[in-house]
Amino acid sequence: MPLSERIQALIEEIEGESLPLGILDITLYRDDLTTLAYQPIVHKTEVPFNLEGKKVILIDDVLYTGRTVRAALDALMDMGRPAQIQLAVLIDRGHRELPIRADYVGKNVPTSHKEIISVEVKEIDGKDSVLILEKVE
Amino acid sequence: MINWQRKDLLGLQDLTADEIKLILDTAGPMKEILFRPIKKVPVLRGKTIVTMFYEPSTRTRTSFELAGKYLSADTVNLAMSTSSVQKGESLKDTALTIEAMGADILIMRHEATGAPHFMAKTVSSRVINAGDGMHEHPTQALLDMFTIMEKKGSIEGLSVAILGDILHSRVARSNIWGLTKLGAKVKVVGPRTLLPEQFRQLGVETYYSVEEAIKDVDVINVLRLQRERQKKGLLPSMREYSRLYCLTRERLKLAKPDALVLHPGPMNRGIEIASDVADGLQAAIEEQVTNGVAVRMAILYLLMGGNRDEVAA
Repeated sequence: MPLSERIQALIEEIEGESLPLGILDITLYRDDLTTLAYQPIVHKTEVPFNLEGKKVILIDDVLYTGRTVRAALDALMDMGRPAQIQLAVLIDRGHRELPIRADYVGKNVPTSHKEIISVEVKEIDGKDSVLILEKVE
Repeated sequence: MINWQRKDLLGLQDLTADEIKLILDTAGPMKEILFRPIKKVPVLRGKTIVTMFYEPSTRTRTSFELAGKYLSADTVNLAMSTSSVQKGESLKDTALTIEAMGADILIMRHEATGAPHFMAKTVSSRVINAGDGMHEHPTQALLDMFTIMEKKGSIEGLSVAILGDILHSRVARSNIWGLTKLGAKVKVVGPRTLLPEQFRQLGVETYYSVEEAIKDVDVINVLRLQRERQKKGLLPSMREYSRLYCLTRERLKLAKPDALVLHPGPMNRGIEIASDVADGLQAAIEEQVTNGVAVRMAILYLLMGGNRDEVAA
């Protein structure tokens, strides 16, 4: 979320245009709900504008299997018919399980499945950092 | 935040405050779906919901059915008056039959207290109590609480009056359990014959005068006078009831100026609530109906959590 706010602010600074910003919660579109023991918390989706015929940029911090993006695409399609959807991510860590790629990538970071990428942002964590951590089994 | 771990939703009496909050917090995002051009999300795709209503109902049954459809579940309504129940089939056999057909969630209303609890023990399908006798109607209380949260921001510290036929009301009981758990002060008010003193044991104040009870309250929940449940002798006449207990504009002035008026419906206009109050700015009765769908979507979602069978055992 802070990432998209920053991009929105930068676009406004450079282009002089303020783009509408929405939040998408993709919980209800996940494909792994039957494999989880408990239902994940559902958060608010706020897309207070019409997507019909718009160019939409989907922003996420980390691109991994591509399943979250698939869910997000389905959620977006249910809200209207955008002219185009592009994908921007801060980190692409590989290991795609679906035919999905990003249009804009901050940095490609090769990882193994045993690792976790942790993105911290100033607005929430007090500092900007991207860490590669070892998964605790 | 906690996880939802129960198989069934049978009542608010045995839920924790955190469990109630989880349902209310989940209902918020569900409500947003109702205002989309395409009111459907795929989360319960391939799940089957069966409603079994042994007592008449339009809004609760329809609300559950729509909630299920908005989440992409398949919903089937059993009209119990035309089913095998009429041929003498027992509750248990009916339930086992429906379970064998692959129902994932059974939604049940029954005139006997505890019928959904019995059902929950009998079948492995999830069971939701949509009203059992004079006992509980948890989803109605949850939608009332959700409406209060939306209008007042929080439930803790609020003063809530429940007005009317307390004795016969499962809505009152569920509201009392839910509201007190979330820290509201609850006052119940009605005629002596419809308000047994034992209600004080539930941690509420009892009143026989509307004027006294609703003074400075934040919320008034007006109950339907259940004419079908009245036994002889409890009420002298409808007219007297309405003269003493109807929520009129004059009486409403005694509550806080921004007091919220709720009614679970269907309304007996002019008996328990005056028409101008029901249609007034302080009433959120129509919004309660919308919120009812959102709350039921939240419950259906939470109950259908993944691999529960293995976890719960």
